[in-house]
Amino acid sequence: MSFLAPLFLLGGAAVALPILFHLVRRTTRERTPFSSLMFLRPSPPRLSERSRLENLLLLLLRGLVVILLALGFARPFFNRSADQAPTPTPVRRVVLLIDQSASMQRGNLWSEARGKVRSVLRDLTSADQAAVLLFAGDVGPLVSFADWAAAPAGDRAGLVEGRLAATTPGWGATRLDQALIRAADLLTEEEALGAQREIVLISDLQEGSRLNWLQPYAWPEGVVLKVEPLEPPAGSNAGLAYAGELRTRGAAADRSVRVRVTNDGASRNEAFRLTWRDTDGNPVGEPVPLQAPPGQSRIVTLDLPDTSPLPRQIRLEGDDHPFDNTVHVLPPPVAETTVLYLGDDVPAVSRGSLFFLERAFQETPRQVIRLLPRKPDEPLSPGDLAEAVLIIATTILPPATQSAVEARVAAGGTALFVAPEAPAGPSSPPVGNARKYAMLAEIDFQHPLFAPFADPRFSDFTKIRFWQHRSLTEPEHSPSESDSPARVLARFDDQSPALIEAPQGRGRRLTLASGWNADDSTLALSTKFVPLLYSLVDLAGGAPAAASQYLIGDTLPLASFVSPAGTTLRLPDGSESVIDADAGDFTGTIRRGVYRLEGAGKPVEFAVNLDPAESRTAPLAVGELEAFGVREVADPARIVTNARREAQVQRGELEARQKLWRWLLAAAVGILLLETWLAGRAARRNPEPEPAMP
Amino acid sequence: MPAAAAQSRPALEPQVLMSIRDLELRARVVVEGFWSGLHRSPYHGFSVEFTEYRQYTPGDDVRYLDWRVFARSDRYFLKRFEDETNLRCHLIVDQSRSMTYRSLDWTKAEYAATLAATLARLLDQQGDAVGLLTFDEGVREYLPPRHRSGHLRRLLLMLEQPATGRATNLLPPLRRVAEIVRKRGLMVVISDFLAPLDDLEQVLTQIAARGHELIVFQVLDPAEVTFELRGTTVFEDLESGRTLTVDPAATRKDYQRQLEAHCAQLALMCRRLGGTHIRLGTDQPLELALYDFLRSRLRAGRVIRRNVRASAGGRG
Repeated sequence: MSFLAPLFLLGGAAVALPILFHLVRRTTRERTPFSSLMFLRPSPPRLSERSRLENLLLLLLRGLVVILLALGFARPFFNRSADQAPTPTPVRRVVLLIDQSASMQRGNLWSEARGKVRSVLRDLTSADQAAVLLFAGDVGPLVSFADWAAAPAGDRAGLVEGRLAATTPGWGATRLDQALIRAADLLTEEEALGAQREIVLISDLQEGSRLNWLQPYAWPEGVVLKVEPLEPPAGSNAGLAYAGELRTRGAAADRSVRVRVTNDGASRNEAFRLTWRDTDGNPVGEPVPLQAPPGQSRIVTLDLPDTSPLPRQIRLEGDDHPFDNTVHVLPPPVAETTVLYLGDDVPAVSRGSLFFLERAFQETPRQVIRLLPRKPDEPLSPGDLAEAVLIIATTILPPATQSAVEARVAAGGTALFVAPEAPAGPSSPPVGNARKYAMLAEIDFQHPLFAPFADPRFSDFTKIRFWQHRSLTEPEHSPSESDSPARVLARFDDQSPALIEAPQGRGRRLTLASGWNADDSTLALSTKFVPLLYSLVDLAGGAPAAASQYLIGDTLPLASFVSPAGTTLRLPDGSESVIDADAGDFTGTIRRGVYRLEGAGKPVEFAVNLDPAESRTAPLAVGELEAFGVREVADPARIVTNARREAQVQRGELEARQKLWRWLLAAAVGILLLETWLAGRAARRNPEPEPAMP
Repeated sequence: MPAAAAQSRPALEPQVLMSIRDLELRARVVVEGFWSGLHRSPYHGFSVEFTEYRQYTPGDDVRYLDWRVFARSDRYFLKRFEDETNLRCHLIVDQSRSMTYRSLDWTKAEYAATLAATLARLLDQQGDAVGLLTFDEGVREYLPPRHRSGHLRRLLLMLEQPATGRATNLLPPLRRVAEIVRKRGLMVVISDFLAPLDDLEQVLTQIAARGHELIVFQVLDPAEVTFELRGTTVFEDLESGRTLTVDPAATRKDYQRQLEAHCAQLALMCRRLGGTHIRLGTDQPLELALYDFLRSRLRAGRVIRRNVRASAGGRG
């Protein structure tokens, strides 16, 4: 029998009270008031035998009542819990996740992590299973479950430590979500009955850890995460990241680069310096000072130094951890495209087509489009023709020019013929002019020309008014034409074709039923004109080159640069890697710096930098992981209190089911009644002396 | 004598009398019942007029000269009227806690108060001036004797005070009375006299020496006299609170003996001084007390009158 509230048993001590009253009562009786005692002498009282015995019985009954009440209040119950046998400590299945990201390079975090690994391994018994994973940008196994099981029991810790000693923290970002998911999957791969599944995370738990993949992930049952946080090293961190817009063209004042400096929230340092460095690391030019308050970031526009070649590195000075203080910058490759315009208009006339073309093709840092306006009557220079990737003709061309253009198209160029009002030569398709108002109705958004407009926000072409258009003949599907048939890319609302694409040789030929000069339409005035022209340029092959700034872990798109002869990629540390023609993209960006692809043609360079999120080294907020559904084990004391609380609840439930206190209370009431009856009987037998005489 | 005179109806039972709550009414009932119970008034033939002459001295009020006597004797005599010859009576009533003992439905104090009220009313009817002095361990209240309207009411109010005294001491009131009262009068002491009698004789002698007439009523409860309590009891003194464990059966005889000796001593004391000792039980009708009272008065030579008009002041 056990008690829910054993303190009430102390109330059983109250049984002393009836005993006390019993003893006291034997000497004190009812008092009879009398007028004067002057004639009375004291005489000792007499106690009859029977009254003494009856009194004792009554005393016993009263004492019993008190004891029963005390027992009832103490809420007894029979503890018949099934699992009284001590449960053996279950086997543990542990996955150790070790953070290998760039932020672990700070201070002695890595050696601290190794120490933690050692202590965790010490706690494991020979029956436990363990695996070790290293994670940064992706997750890689160090020691798998199989390796662990294969190694003899005494050597397991040594195996792990040996392999760990050979690794160092890399430069990757912290993809914590990926690592946790991988570890959880690894644990739930096999059905481990009765085993306690645990993930031990050894990391600096920085704010810059990626956690978004955890959002849709359902944390599996039975897997708990135990975090071994590492002591953050002293000092604060400020990070440097490329913020874009390295301009190398234009006036000297415009030649600059933007970088972002992020200062840690807890730092006490506000003053920093930025310096340009050359490939050997020597400073170039004067350091640029800047102020960044703690917890904030500043974007600084650095002027490019006048030296040549341009320095590639910018370094930040003034904080305690230098791992994120270098940024490699490369001037972005500028694509130069030439567009040849054949038409009679004068640029100054705003009703003509050339006027708009000149204004449409603006220079951007990544692309320069050169417009060559030529009169159709003039003879074309072969150089111009060869350079131009896009030829736009708005008039009827003389036969020589026409054939030259067609030859260029066949060689791989693109030509846009805006159907003129008057019919051209016999080779041109016959046109008829319809002077009626029309709008574009059907547009083929699958075609790369119109693909940017596929989104419903941009796909409304009905605002463009066409005052007149020529009727183009429908393209026929005849097998005698070139391999791919001509397509109608756009139609007017009267179903007549507006834009026809006809492949010719290696290039293509586009015919537009109406121009963009003021007489023909309002196309040049609409918002779709410029994007359409650029899309046309991209189609013609003048797309801007791929970006040159990448982050560690990104794949470099080498496919467009490899040549069949073989391409060599020079890595930042000096080593070389040969890229096959059919290799595709390069994924080995594990180090930051400039990667140089040398092969046929101009060498192409890529700058790879640290993920800016790695600079956010402040520790994660408590409960951040729990917010994503990860079941954490915060501290062992909590487990104990939880177990204790559960045991308490169990006891409470048992007692509530048995309700022994009711029986005890009923017994107490019964005994009270018995005692009352007995006392009444005793009183009747020995009537008490009454003060008033009848 | 009046006590032996035939009564047409039996005396009023104390149970019935004491059930009347109002003291004044109780007194009136007793007195009028007393008068109506007498067939023949032994007091016929008395003059309602003046009773005595006094020789004239210069300075007296000439209103009261009796001219007939002057015509006969050629000497100046003043009439002495009833009020001048009237009595000054002091009722000395015990209001200590020992008087609150009762074995019947009324306490000794209530009985004593009724007795005092009855006497007061009777005396007032006769034209006497009645005063009251209540005591317990000392003098409680004192009302000088007057024969005025409203005086009786005041006296009855004083009698209705509850008996709360913590001790019974007869000496202070008697001494006070002995000091204050110069003129000869009547002293009626009503108490249970359950107190030491040592110095009492001395004070009573003082009073008697002044010429006062003394009547002592001892009021006792029948339970006090017979002492028929059963079983061992812890007795508690009503006045002092002292307790005593007594077995009544064993001490009854002893107690009664002592009580009788005490009462006899008191009676002897009174008689020696020329007074009267009347012992009353609270179960006895009050009329008997009145009879005894009046008998003692007659013996003392007083004139008893009936239904004298209670107007104060002299008449010509």
